[in-house]
Order: sequence, then C-alpha cells, then structure tokens
Amino acid sequence: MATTNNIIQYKEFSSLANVSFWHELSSKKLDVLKLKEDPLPVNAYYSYSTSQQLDPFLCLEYNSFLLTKSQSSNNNTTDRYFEPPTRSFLSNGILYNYNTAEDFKQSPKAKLFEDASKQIWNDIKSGNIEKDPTLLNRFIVLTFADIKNHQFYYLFGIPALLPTQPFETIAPTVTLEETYNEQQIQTLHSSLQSSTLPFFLIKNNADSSISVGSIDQWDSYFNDIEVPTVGFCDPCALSSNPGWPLRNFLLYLSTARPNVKKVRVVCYRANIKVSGEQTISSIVLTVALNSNTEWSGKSVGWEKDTNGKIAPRFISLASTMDPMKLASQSV
Amino acid sequence: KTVEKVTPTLTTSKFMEEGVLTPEEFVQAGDLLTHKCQTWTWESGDPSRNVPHLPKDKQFLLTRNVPCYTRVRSLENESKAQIADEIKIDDDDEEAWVAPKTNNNDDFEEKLENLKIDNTSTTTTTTTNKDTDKPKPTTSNDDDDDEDDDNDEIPDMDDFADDNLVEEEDPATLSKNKSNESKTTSSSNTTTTTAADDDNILRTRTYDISITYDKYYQTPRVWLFGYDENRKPLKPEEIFEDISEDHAHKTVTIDSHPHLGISFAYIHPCRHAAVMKKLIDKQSENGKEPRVDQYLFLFLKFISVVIPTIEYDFTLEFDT
Repeated sequence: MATTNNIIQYKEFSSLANVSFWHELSSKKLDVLKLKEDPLPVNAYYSYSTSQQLDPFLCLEYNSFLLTKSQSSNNNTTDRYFEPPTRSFLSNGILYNYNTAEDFKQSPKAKLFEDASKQIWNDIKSGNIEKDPTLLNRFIVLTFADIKNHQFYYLFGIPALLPTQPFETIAPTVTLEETYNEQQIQTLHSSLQSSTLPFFLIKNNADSSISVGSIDQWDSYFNDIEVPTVGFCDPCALSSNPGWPLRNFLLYLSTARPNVKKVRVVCYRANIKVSGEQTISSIVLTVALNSNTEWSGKSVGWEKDTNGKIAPRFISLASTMDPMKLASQSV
Repeated sequence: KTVEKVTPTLTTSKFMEEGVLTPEEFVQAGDLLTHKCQTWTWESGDPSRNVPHLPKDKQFLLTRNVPCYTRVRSLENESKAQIADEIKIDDDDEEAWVAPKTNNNDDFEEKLENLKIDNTSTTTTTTTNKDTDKPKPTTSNDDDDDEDDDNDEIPDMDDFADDNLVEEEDPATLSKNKSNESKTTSSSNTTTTTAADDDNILRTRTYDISITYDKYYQTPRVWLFGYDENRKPLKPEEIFEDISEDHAHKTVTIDSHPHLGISFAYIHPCRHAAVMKKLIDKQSENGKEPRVDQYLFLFLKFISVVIPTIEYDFTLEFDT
C-alpha cells in the first residue's frame, strides 16, 4: 500500500547568519569567550517566505546571543531578552565555537547532532512540548572564528528526527481556499496575526466558524473527532512541499496522540503580499499517523553545500570589519 | 556625525512646509508602515548606540531578505519600458529624482498615481516592447561569479570538511535537484532551461533594508545590506549593480550604520526633504490631504527609483 510517492518531502532550511551576527561573535570571542570552548546558547528565528524564489531561512542576527525570557534564570527587569521579530518563530540553538581549524574539523559533530536530537525526543516524551512548542525547533551551529582575518567557518545542523516510517499523505494536497471559506480564512489570518506559536490547532465549530488554539488545548478541541486539523507556520513557499518544522511536529503528534490515525495539516504561509509578487498560498495536507511510530534514533538536517555535500561554509568579512573600527568597538 | 550631535532635535512639525519629519512623526509613519506592510519591523539595535530622541524599541525600521532578481543594468537594457513611465519630479534635469509607475491598483497607490508631478509633459518612451520576456540566453549565466572568486581568497573547504560526517539517505528530504516544482514559465517556447533551473528554487540576491532617522537632515535615511545567491555579503561594488546608474556614485555611499556599527551602503539624504516637499505639494494640489503618517509610503516609492530591482514592500495591504 505504501508507495514512496506519498512520502511527504520537506524543504530544508538554509542558514542565514547575518553579518551583524558574526560581528557579535567576534566581540564575544574577544571579550567573553577568549579561549574557552564552552557551548553557548543562541537563538534564531524563521519567518514566512515572501517569495517563491527564496529558500526558507533560519536567521541569526546581532541579538542572537541574548536569551529569551523563559530561557534566562534570573528575571532581572534590566536584562534584554531575545524576541523573534513579528511573525517570526523561535528556534533554539547551541553554538560550539572552536579555537583552531583542526579542533573545528575534529569536533564530535555526529554526537552533538545526536544530543540535540535526543533533547527534542526527550521533550516530546516528557510533555514539555505542550508547554513550549518551540522546543521542537532546535539547531546546532559549529564555528571556527578566525578573527584576525575576519574569516568564519561554520556548519549548521537542524535536526529532523526520523520516524520509524516516513509520514505519508493519504489525499491530494489542496489549497487553503479549497478547504475553508472566506470567513474562516479571515479568522485564521486574524488569529495568527500576532501569534508567536509555531504550531496550532484548528477547530470547526457547530456554527461553521473556526477557532484557533494552542496545542495544549487538544482535549477541549478534538473530543472524538476522527480527523483533527492542526497547523504550523510554514517558512516554505513551494506549492506542494511543506517546510522543515513540520517534521518534528508530526513525530510529536503521532507520539503524543496515539489514537489519532489521520490528521489534516494546514501549512500556513500568512498572507504577505510584496510589491510585484503573488501572495504565497497556504496548502493543506492529509497525513496518516501511525500509532506505532517512534523515533528511529536517527535524524537528518546537516546543512549541505551547493553540491549536496555536508560541508562547512565560509564567510569573509574583511570588507566590513575594518580592524580599527573593530578595535574601538571591543574596548 | 559630530554635526548631528550638536544639531537640536526638530520639535515642531515642518512636514507640510519643508517635507521633513520630527522624530515623533518618524515613529508615527513607521508605525503605519509596520502595520500595513508586515515585512517591515521596528528594531532596537545595539543598545549602546540608542539615540535618545526615539523610543528604545523603535530606533530604526528593517525589512529582511528582500529578493533582488536582476541587476539594474539588465533592467535598463532589456525592459526600459518598465521604468519608462517615469514621472519627473524635479525640474533641473541633472539631479532629477524620478518616480516609477507601478501596476498596482491599490487604493492608496491610485492616489499616488494621481500625482501629476511634472510641469512639462510626462516623458514616456515606447511602451510597445511587450516581448521583453525572452528566455535568457544560456550562455550568460545568472551572475558574475568568476569575479567573486578572484577577489575572495576562498580557502580549500576540503581542509575543513569532516569525512566521517555522513547522513542517512532520507526519502523525505526534498532533494535540490528533483524538480517537484516545475519552473516552466509559460506554455510558449520558453522551455529553455538555464543553469539555475536545475534547482527548484531559483537563487537570488537578497537585501536587508533599514531606515534610520537622520537628525541632521530631519528625514529618513535608507541603508542597504546585500547578500549574493549563496548568502555571502555583497561587496560595495556589487551593491552598486543594484542601484540605478543615475544615482550609483552620486547619491550612494558607504558608512557605519548608526544602530548596528556595521558598514552599510546608504542613500544620501541631502535631497530627500526637497523631493518629499514636492510630492506633498502635488498631493495637496490634487485635493488630497497629505498625511504625515503616510510619509514613508511616499518616501519608499521614490526610493524605489534608486533601487528599482530590489522588491521591498511599500504597498498598502488589506486592512486587518
């Protein structure tokens, strides 16, 4: 019955570490880290795509080294916290910076990647996801910062946990407009307008209106419904493929909701219209969930180069990092 | 910069008279922009660089990852018609700022369209070359990559690769070379595939555009930061390829961004107020009451003349 044609194929993230991020890493390295190689928490975000021709980006910026309010232990009012920009969603990361090219090369990458994957799985098993769904979005980034020459080498890993069986669609993919009427779509837009939740639930009410809720409202939303509808904020713009965040979410659903056999997934792409561009339409998938699905113990998601090979990336900022300016900044 | 420090902050509105903004009006206009165009956000920037005349969380405006598909040169050669419907704003030819015509029948856009700005007849070149969508010749690959490679001593990345790192073959990862998403442009004879079509997503340059408040000129100031198709920062000379030739070396310069401390290209604001003043006057002449909170929409419309191929948003969206 299972033909490979129905296996959902997800579009990978591309990392986009902003120049301001590398500046920040340089000054961190000079002032704070020095020769320490301790892992550092970093926060990234992803947003809805504004163009069919852009990859889904996982972005890091000047404020990526700040913690979020819930990550920081002492809630000092003067502290600054990381907050994703509006209509963007948090991804929790760990940065491993190495002092030498050799250390970078020899770093235990597979283990670090597995650690991050395990953490996701533990959060799924323990129910932490219900409290904070952003814990499904994790990444690691390994760096070697050659700050003398303003050169950076880096490698991103954005783990998607592989289920024992890949998830498959059991009905053709349709558009949001084919699924909901205008009124309902309006409700969806306005409910998600300022939402920071990357994953959500959609309930069809008796009066044909819809409600949008957080994933911990499951029991009150889907009492005895055969095919519940869930949604996620999709950074991908392709008309037949969802983005990366759906992967861990589906594994979470099949683990946390073993009685659900089928689920409808709204891949929500907001309604952002940019000059000269068409609105990117949201799509709706019908997915089979298998109650025997577990994490296979394997995961994928290392960032590849243009040849599809797992390889570090390189960036030189010699042109934007004038040593004199840098020196005056770091005093 | 020192001049800016000693310039007193503008406190009374001179929007109608001089086309300038107070910091409060900048915030007002920014609020409307971020509300209507959701790709724009307010940013706080580096706290040590905060300016006191603006709220801490509204230091500057930013729109990220804005696609920029073609170079200005190709636009100028290929489809001059697109920017041909220019409305001349200024009388002296040399320094004229021009506003492009957009094909947007949006409410506010129409209002803007109604601005018959020129005193002379509007300069319209031929609009008959509809067939500008010729397939790109395969020989001219998408960009000037050889140039890049020369300047950037790219190290041998194999020295950094970890051969032990392999990944499971995964049927659920959308492979880059599988064309799930067919990119065939139209049914006609445009089936020629260019090199970039191997991938299902056509890679393009992107820009981060930020708008700061310039206390000296009392106008917004636009900063550009560009990335190439592989998300590497563009060099200044590459950024100039996306700035219209009329303005590239006259009005665009590189300096350190006031809230980020990183070198950015910026559009020099010395003539912004004058142009805005003209646009505002035309609006009133047409019986429209210029609104200071719409300042940035007008402003971004004329900035699009300088950077015609960077597709940032300045249209009024549906009301939410």
